[in-house]
Amino acid sequence: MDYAYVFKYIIIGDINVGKSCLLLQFTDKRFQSAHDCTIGVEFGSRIVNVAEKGVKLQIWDTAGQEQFRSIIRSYYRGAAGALLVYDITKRTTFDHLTMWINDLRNYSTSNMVIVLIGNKCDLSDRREVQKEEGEAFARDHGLIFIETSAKTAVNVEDAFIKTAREICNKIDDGVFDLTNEMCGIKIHHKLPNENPNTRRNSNPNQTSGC
Amino acid sequence: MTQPSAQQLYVSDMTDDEIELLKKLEEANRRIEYDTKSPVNTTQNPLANLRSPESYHEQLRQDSVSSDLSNVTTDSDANLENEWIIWNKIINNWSIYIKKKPQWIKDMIRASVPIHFRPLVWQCLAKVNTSIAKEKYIDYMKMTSSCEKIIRRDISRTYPEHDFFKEKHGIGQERLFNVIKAYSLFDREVGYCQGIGFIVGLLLMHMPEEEAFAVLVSIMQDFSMRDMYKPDMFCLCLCMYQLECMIQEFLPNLYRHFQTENFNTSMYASSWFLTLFTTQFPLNIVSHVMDLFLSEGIEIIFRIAIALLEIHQNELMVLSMEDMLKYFQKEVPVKHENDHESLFQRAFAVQYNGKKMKKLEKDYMIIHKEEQEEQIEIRRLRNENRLLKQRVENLEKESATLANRLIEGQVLNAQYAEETDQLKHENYTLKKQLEENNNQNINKTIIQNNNQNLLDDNIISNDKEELEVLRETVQNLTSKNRNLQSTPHVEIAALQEELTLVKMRDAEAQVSINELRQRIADLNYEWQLHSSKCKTIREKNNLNESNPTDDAYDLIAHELISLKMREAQLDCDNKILSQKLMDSDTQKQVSYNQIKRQDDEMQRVRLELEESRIRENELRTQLNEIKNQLRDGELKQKEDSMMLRIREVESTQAIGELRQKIAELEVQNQELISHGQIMDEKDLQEKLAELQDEVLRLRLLLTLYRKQPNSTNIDYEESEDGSLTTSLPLLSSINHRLSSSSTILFPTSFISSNHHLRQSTPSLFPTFSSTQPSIS
Repeated sequence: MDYAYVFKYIIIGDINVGKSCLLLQFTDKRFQSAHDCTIGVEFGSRIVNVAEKGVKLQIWDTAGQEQFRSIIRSYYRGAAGALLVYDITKRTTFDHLTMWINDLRNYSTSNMVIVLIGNKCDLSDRREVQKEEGEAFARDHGLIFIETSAKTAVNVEDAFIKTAREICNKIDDGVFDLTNEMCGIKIHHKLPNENPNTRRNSNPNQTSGC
Repeated sequence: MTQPSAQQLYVSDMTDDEIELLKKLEEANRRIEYDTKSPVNTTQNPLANLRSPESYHEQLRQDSVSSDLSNVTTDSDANLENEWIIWNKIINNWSIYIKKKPQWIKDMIRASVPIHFRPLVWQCLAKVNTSIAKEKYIDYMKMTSSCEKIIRRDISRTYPEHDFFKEKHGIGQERLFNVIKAYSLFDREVGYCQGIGFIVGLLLMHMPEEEAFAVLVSIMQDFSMRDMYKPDMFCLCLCMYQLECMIQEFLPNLYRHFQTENFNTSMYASSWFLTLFTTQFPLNIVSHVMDLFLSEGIEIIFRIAIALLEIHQNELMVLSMEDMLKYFQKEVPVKHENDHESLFQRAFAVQYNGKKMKKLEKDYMIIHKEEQEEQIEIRRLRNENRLLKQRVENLEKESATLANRLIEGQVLNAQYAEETDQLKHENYTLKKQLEENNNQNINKTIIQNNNQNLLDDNIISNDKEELEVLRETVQNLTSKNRNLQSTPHVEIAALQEELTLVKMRDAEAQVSINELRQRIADLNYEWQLHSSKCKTIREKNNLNESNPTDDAYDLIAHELISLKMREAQLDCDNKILSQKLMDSDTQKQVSYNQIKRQDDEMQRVRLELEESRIRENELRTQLNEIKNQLRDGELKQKEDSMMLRIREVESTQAIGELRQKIAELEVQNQELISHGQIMDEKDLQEKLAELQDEVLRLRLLLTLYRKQPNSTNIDYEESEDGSLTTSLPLLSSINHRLSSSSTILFPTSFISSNHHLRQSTPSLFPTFSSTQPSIS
């Protein structure tokens, strides 16, 4: 599948909130409860269709433990989108969000699109964080909010694609400096010669689509 | 990483008896192990020692190490035996060998450690026998760690596909948990860090919990792995930097490729260092890596990393970042599963320069410091930026509101402009209409003027008339007002006018009187003329008597003249009468005026009278008041006089009293004087008493003298008072009598005897004694 852009994503959040599972669900469409814990960072990618064009998502899945913070911080800077994940069945993971947001704001590019993900929504009987709280937090910090389940795949696709759409909107608004690789967006240069034209032609449609 | 075929082979090779034997041996070994609890001690039993790792290993990891085992079993027996003998010797005399031939041991380890000796070698290398960690382990088991929750979560994610650790809450997972927990308690700073589990897992595949814990402690502390896991992971970052520099040095092309692909060292190599390749390679390689790590330290990780990159350089050079990651994840482990010898040989061949690494460390320290400073600076700038952005936002908001206001203002302006235009237009149209109307009006008025000119005029004139009337009334009123204001003057003026009129009339009357007198004179003169004429005529007539007509004529003329005279007189009377009338009129006027004035005066007088009456009343009241005051004064005076009289009486009384008092006082005075005299007498009495005392004394003396012969005094005494006896008691009684009688005597004869007594004190006694009997 051809694609026009490469978006760099980063998945962050407390330990054991299901970051790797989200990635696995998104890239491989499967759920694996037992897998190696993430040492440092792990990687996954998938091409999705956003607003009538292909976008390749390069997703860096990070270790949730405090100690790895200094390593994963270097990944913040080159990312266009961040999936900040918490576990709806564990209040502490929600309480740590402010710290994560501060970390992101301190080390990322300012135009980063952040989506707040309340994961494990399939376990609503053990819910400790209400949806409204998540929504309120997202509203206060200017984030996109979505509740997902990496296990049942509910909203997982949406979470990634919504972020991509938001980034597309920002590109169309000219917010990103695409010549700077640090913004986390790359124009895919290996496209055939005809494609740039079609892309240019399709630009007006994108604005409406995004 | 698993070789089911080999395992099957191995299992199928063994007979039932052999399995039985193996089990027995295993049990025996375990017992021995648990009794001694020391790898050195266990080595004292070579056979058990030789067999124990194998059996233990088999129990723990049938699948992963089976390849090794199969290799061992398929190797030539002679070589194997030789190797085992050598390693047995090394283990038994470890302390000697490691001192004397460290390089040889290093080489031996590099060559490979037999799988059965591996646990012992690791324990020897980790110096477990001298470590205190093992003893503490049991204590740690009883304690609870704050990291337990996280450890528990990660347990199922450590070697999740490995049989030993697969089972949830199975023996493998429990041991893993125990050792990790113990370490988190042992090293509170590091606590638990993801990645440790893989190393612990590897150790637990080779040895029991306590030994695994001891080796882990050694790895962490002696081999500085704990620095890797410290909260800031500084050591890991340093290793990344060092590796990057090494790649740049040894593999410049690959380094450039990595750079262009943004392929960061930490993306693939961080787990190599953190878990000592346990997450990268199959377990047979990983075990040997552990051999080498415990023998040579972190250096070997660098060597292997460089060797690995070198081997796969060509493949990596054509791959993108993503594919390289996948390549490391999937291709590399598979490629080395069976061929690990070449990898290690390459690794040993890498020219590792310790000094250079130290230099790189120093460089990195500087870089890190700079980075940190930069970070601080960036954070500061970010904060500033945020604040500025907020300000900008605020200002933008302000400007937006201002712009809105401006727009609103402009809109209003435009509206006003429109309105004014409309108004102007309306104005214009109205003006036009007005003009038209005016024109029409003019036309109409012209026509109407023609038709209704008179009416209009009438109306106007009516209006004017009314106006004039009103003005007149106003004027009248004002004049009246003025007249009213100037009435006194007018009255005076009127009186003056009257006066002048009267004078004029008087003058006229005089003139007319003069005229009348003149006329009378004229008439008299004419009458005389006429009478004279008549006389002459009569004389003539008398003379002529013949003429009767002439007589008639004369008569008539006479009559005429008399008539004229009468007429003149009547006129005169008339005039006089009119004059009198006039006079009376004027008099009447004057009197009228006088009456008026008198009336005025009367009124004034009345007013004055009233005023005076009021005054009189006031005065009367004042008078009354004064009278009252006077009466009061008189009363007061009377009272005062009464009071004075009373006072006089009182004072006279007081005087009388005072006089009485004076008299009394005089009496008192006299009394006092007499009293004073009495007082003097008292003194005298006292003196008398004294004298009597003296008399007594003298008498006593006398009695004393009497006792002696030739005492004339006593004789005298006896003769003087014959009744007295010579006894003393009698004397005293006499003396008493004397004193009492003298007190009675005094008031009557004190004055006369006073002087005498005083003068005759020495002779007092005889006089008294002489008087005494007469009184008594």
